[in-house]
Amino acid sequence: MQEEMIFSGFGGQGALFAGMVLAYAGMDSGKNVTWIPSYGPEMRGGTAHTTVIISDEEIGSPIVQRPSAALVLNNPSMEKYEPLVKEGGVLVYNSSLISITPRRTDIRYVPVPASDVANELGNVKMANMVALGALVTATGVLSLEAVIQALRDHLPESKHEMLEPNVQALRRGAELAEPVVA
Amino acid sequence: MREFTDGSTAIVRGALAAGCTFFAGYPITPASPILMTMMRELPKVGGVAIQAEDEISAVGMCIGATMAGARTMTATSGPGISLYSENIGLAVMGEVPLVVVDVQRLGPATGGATTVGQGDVQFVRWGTAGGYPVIVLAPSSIPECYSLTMRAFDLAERFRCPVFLLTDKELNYTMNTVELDEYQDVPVRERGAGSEGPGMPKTQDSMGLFAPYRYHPPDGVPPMVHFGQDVVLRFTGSTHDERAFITKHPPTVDALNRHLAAKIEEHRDEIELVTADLEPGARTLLLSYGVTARAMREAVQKARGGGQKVSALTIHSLWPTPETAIETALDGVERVVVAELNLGQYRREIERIAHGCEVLGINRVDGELISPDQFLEVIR
Repeated sequence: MQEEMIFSGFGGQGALFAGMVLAYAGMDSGKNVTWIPSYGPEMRGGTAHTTVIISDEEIGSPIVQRPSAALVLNNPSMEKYEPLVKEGGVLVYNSSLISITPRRTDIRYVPVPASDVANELGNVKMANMVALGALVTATGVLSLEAVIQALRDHLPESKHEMLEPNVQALRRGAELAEPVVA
Repeated sequence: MREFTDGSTAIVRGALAAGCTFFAGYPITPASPILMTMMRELPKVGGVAIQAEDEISAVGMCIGATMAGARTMTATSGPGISLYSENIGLAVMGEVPLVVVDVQRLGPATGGATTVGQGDVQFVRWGTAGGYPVIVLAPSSIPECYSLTMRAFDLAERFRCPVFLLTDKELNYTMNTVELDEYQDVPVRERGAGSEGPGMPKTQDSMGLFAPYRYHPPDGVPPMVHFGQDVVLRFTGSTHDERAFITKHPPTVDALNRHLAAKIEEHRDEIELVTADLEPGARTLLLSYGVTARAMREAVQKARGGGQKVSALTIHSLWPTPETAIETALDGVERVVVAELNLGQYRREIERIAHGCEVLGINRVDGELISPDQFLEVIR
């Protein structure tokens, strides 16, 4: 098994953190993982993305030309990664903010109103966790419980007041996607 | 046991394992995590880590700290090396053990501050006035970031010179799962070890004056004495005699300058470090270093899986050029392909060595990494 994923959004939307949580969950599940951050020189407002690979095998090159799944949180990320997703792959997108109409017929789209759901749960910053929950269900890359455990184990102590709301966000997101058909 | 970590963390750990006691730096992407981590970790073991007012002071502080007895490291990116340049020369002339990490980023000036490049390969080698050699090591994985940092400290002590650890944004920022037993410790020699053994120089001149820069033979290394010890130590950036008194006496100056080159170049065999994966009958040799070598190794596996024969050479000691290892790897191949994130800087070195062998390059300067597929396209 090798899943190659891209997480992308505006700086501050938490795309890199979402990828990091999934990477930790992968490691704690006994997989090999890589996580490459990529962002511009802007202090805020630019787009940022991370490439995450989760594999049973040793990972050689950490770069990905055609991701098997992508999680996009804003329009520029949708523009950039929609064409790159591998045929048969999954594209999870934040339908609260993304106005672009899906253009491909050979990938599976998972629209998730991530920002709206996060708002309902009390903090729009949790849109990343809503979308991650949906990605986990839609791809089956790891179990939702493994991802929740990774969040519990690796979220810094200073952020723990946000732990349970984020767990809730992951669960809500997971419910919003159709599971992958094996 | 496994962990999820990055190259910057491994470099800091390597420095601590090597006994680093002093670090000074100035923030610059993508080297800042080393500064931040050093400032957090070094005080815990009794060391000192300082954010200097600028790059010039950062490297200057390191030179001063070494001469006062510390084991020192600094870290910056290419634009910071521009500012280090003058003091790198001082460290060469003053024969100062010092580890300099250059986490490369793309392009000249501010360039692609947050994107990867390997454009400092020639710059670090020739980065100071006068053109005297330094040692440059290039890790290609997180465990190598650890072991080559230790090795950089060892070689700095052995040869009394600045040693560069040349990495890049992707190597330092990409997080990977690493098995803890992949980290290999490297023995680090004590200060002054380079001048031990037969022919060790006497530290007194004929008048009984202390001679801190007496070396013998020409490729020998002077013993190391620190400020604060019970001898009078002098230190200068000017051409000097064995007592560090300024001189223009041609034979003395000639000997000094030849010594600065010889102590490194005549000991290439001690510095040379490569990973050779050579396959009998292969017509193509792939050659790379740093993060680019990771894609190369993946391509080699894929090619061999498809029944193709191919050899690969990862260079870990870029300068002095590991000529013996390169010549061995070139033996029997028809072509060598040098892959690097610049317009062919190290390829020049290979062209110099590869007589009668076709030399090609895979080069990218767009801020993206060379992919395994780019290697596969050139294997035949």
